[in-house]
Amino acid sequence: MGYRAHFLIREGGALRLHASHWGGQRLLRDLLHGPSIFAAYVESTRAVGELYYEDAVDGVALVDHDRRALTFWGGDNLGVESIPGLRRRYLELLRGRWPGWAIRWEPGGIRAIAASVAVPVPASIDGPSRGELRVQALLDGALGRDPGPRENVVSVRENAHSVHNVRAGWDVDALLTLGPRLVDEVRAQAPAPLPRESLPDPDDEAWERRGGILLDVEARRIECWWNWPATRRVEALPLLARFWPGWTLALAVDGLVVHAERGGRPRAAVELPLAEAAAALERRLFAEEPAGAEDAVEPAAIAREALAAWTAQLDGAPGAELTIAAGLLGDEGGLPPPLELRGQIARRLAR
Amino acid sequence: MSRFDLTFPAEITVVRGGEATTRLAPWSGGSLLVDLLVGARSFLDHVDALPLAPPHLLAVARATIDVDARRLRIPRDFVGLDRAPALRRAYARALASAWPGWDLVDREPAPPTEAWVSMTLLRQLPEGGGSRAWITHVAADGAIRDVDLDVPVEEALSLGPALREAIAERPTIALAREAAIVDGVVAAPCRGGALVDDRRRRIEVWWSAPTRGAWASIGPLARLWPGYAAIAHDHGLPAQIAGSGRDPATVAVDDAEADALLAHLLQVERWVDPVALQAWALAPLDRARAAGVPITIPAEARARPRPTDAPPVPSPPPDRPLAGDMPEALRLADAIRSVDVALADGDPPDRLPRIFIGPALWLALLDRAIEEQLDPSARARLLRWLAPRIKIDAPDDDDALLGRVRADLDRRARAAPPFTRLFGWDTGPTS
Repeated sequence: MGYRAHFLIREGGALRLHASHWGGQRLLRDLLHGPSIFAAYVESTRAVGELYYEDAVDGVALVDHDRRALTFWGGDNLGVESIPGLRRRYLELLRGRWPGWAIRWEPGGIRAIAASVAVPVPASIDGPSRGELRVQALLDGALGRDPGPRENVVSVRENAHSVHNVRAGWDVDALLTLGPRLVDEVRAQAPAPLPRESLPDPDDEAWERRGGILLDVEARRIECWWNWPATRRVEALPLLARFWPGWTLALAVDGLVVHAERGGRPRAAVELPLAEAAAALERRLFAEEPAGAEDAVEPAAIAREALAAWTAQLDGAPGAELTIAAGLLGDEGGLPPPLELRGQIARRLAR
Repeated sequence: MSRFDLTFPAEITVVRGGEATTRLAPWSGGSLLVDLLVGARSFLDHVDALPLAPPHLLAVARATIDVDARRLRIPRDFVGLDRAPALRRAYARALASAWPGWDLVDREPAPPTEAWVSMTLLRQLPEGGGSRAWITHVAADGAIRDVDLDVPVEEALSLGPALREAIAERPTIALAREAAIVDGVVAAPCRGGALVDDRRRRIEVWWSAPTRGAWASIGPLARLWPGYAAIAHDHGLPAQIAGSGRDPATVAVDDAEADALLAHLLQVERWVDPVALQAWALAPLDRARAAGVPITIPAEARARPRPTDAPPVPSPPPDRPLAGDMPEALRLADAIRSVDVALADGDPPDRLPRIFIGPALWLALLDRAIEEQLDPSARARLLRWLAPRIKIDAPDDDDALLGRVRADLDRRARAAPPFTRLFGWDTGPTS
């Protein structure tokens, strides 16, 4: 049990690895303290010699003091990273707290960040095979047999003056299996206006995989996105690119606003309104419970209490032995909230 | 009074005057393919005397006879001839002879009803060879390489043109006949294959079991091979070899050989005598009744005589080598065992599972026949096949392995919930 975080610190040309058993839970909030406090916090966590296996990592930050660059991934534990409209606003806010630093969110998670500094990540024990991708491969004419509901967006950009937007019920990765045929199938569909960004319904189980594709015919370039570009989706891109010989395929982390901008429209036409985004960030960053769920619990505290109770029971049992993972009890799980930001997010973003 | 549905059912639907009637041959799941060879008249007379099938029957074998359209269809999943296309063609010839003037065979699997197929894209080929796919690559300079892979052919082709580099350093294999009797079993050297021809810019794919999903995957596969024409065919390994410009006679079986293989498969290897099967499978119930447990066998579940003029079959069947479909065999054994286990545990009869189970006979063999009926080499083959699937270490000594497997199966049968007793064997261990 835990919300494990890894911190990778590059300083003076050397790389050090740190770990926290509970620090992944609110990594995004902790980062908002800015470089000085966050760096001090990181130094207070345990130095380790190797990384956890990949599926055990709930958050990771690479703090590169040499280049003044921060790269991070928070596992969507606060419900911010899976909503593109919130993710962009959070990054704006974070950049304001780390002046002079290059800030980047890495959707590829621990594997991508560790690979960037050549640190090996132990393979998952029970995870799905990294050697293959199971995909719903569409047959010719699939767009005309759309299962609905049409919640994904596909745009064909013919040139600087002409963009054809349609809606599709097929998932983004399935649509990409059509290869260049997708362009013609989209052209044959009736145009649909771009939707506006929104916050997800808590019961919407399809939210994370929803997204879009932008096909630039002149540049032979594809930009695709998912609300939550999970690591496995990011890693699937080179496989899906096989269906597009002669094209380049890239992840568009900014989501729907890319469709508007490539079509010559302001992103404000589709983006989540600032006030709405700021209010949602306040709830997610400062609520006692993660992800804004009112009935959510505090897993770290409950786990510590439960563990203490079990340990007490075992103490009285003859012959019992219990090994407690390093940091499980002593690691308090991150920094206190940056209270100076509470109630101030909208104002700071409006600057 | 408790009722048992422990059968090995074939389901036959007859369409006459636009009306469809489905009937049950309760113990004929292992003989349907042979029984059909009596021809239309005799077989329809036989079917008309069968009881109506209950709803939601899980049939082992199935056929639909449209008398109005003079069309007979056997769903591919139930054909059981999917070891090599040559066997399917041999059966089609035999059936055409017995049902003259009837429309009998789909030329290719029906297209999927959905607009998609499930597909697995590989990042790279696994190490080592195997029997799941044979690939023949004809390079632009005419050099030919045959390699064996341990992945399905469509997954190998998902690499796109990079497949050519991936197999470039692998050793070329010795070709083998597309089907042959090996250790008493009709066997094929591979389950599918492809010709990748750089000279003609063409890939030609086939499967020993061409499901509609595999067949439809040729469209998405073609997108992964830009500049290549991609086709699926049902002519098997000989067409793959001929496509590379070599003589297919080195791998092909001729019609007479294919007929002999088919006869062995249907009348020896997979043959199930319905009457004997019923007697064997219901033995636990007879024991229960003798002990005073009130159980009845429904009239419609009693074995029926085979159709008039049915082709001769070995009687009694010779010691079968227990080839065929192992998971189905295990399901059957498991089902039968569950009756014994439940009775031994003293469960009230109405709590015993209702069992519709498949390839009966096959496992009649496991618990009992595995030791009593199999010759040592067949038993060893089964046990070596089974051991990794139930995740037990296989000692070198066959007798020790037998004891270990039987103990493990017994433990699992007693521990597994009813659902996995029926379906768990081919998807993984149930503990």
